[in-house]
Amino acid sequence: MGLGQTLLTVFALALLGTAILMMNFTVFDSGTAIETSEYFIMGTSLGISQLESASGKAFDEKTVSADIASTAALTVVLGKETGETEPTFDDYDDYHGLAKWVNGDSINFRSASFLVRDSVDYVTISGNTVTASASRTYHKRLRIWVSSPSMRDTLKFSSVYSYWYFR
Amino acid sequence: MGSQVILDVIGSFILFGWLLLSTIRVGTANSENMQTYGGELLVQENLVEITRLLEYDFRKIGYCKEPNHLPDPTKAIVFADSTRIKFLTDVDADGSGPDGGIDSILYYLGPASELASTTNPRDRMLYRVVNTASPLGANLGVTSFVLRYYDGQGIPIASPVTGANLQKIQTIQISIIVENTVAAELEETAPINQQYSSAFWQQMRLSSRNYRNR
Repeated sequence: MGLGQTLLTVFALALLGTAILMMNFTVFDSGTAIETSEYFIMGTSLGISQLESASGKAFDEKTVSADIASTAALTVVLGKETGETEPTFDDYDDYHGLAKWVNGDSINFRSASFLVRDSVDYVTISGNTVTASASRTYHKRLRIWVSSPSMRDTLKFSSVYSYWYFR
Repeated sequence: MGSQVILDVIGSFILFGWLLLSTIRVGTANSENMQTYGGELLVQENLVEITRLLEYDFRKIGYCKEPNHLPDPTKAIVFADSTRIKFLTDVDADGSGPDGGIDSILYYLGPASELASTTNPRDRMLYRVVNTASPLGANLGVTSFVLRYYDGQGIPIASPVTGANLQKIQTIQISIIVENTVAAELEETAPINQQYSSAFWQQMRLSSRNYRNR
């Protein structure tokens, strides 16, 4: 085999190797995208569940069993009250500062563990703009971040809950 | 023909055969992967469609455009067990929006035997029945549809929920598993490994505002 033929063979092998590698990368990328979207679905279900769970609570500790006449009656320091745990949360801002791990198992979240973090603050609403408020208002915003070691991105959910009652 | 040439020809054949086998192997693996990923994608799309519908309907438990027609939303759930739920709401079959009349929606899972024609032995039809209309269902590969109910304190209510306990339901946990109706046949493992892609979704606590208070 001459030098030319040898070089041609080496070139052909390199070309084939590159093609196979590129094919593998494409397959792996597809797999990663599919897995990621599955984690997103799970993370989204966790985030929305948290929002729904919170929206089933009272607006404020002071409105759990009574009405209030002005924002001055609302809680100043947001967060859970002493002794409360997530199953016993009774108002919206109890979720403020909550951070919990939802660990995966072989059936449900399939070995993916998720970290869910919550934050609640008072907000003012003007048109479509929601702005954090230093003072107490009739609107509270719950923000939830769902992250996982299995995901590159963090999912963020936000919902505003307003105080209302029927006279 | 010299011995060197013969050696070259034999070597070329061996090399060509090896390359051919490698290429075929790569092609097969690629095909199987694409089949699996396609199945995963289909499952996820089906799951999203189901959850979208469920979220829309469950969010409206106890809702009625004309409040006087449904004065007590706590009585909106008519029947509830681990795989079936019937509740009162306000939907319009033609899609034009709520019309102020009370409607009922029943969700239930059909038997696995109903879909014996599919290769997946676990898939079932998830039915949605509005009022007294014929059950509508689509084979989206639902293999599990489990409902759990909780009261206002987050305490689980035993299923089936009956009588006064129906009014205690404040939150509902919905768990769904969707699988492919047709398996991806992977030839990597002998003789043939039928792999069903699956996706799981769980609405941990879906509380209906209308159900809790108006």
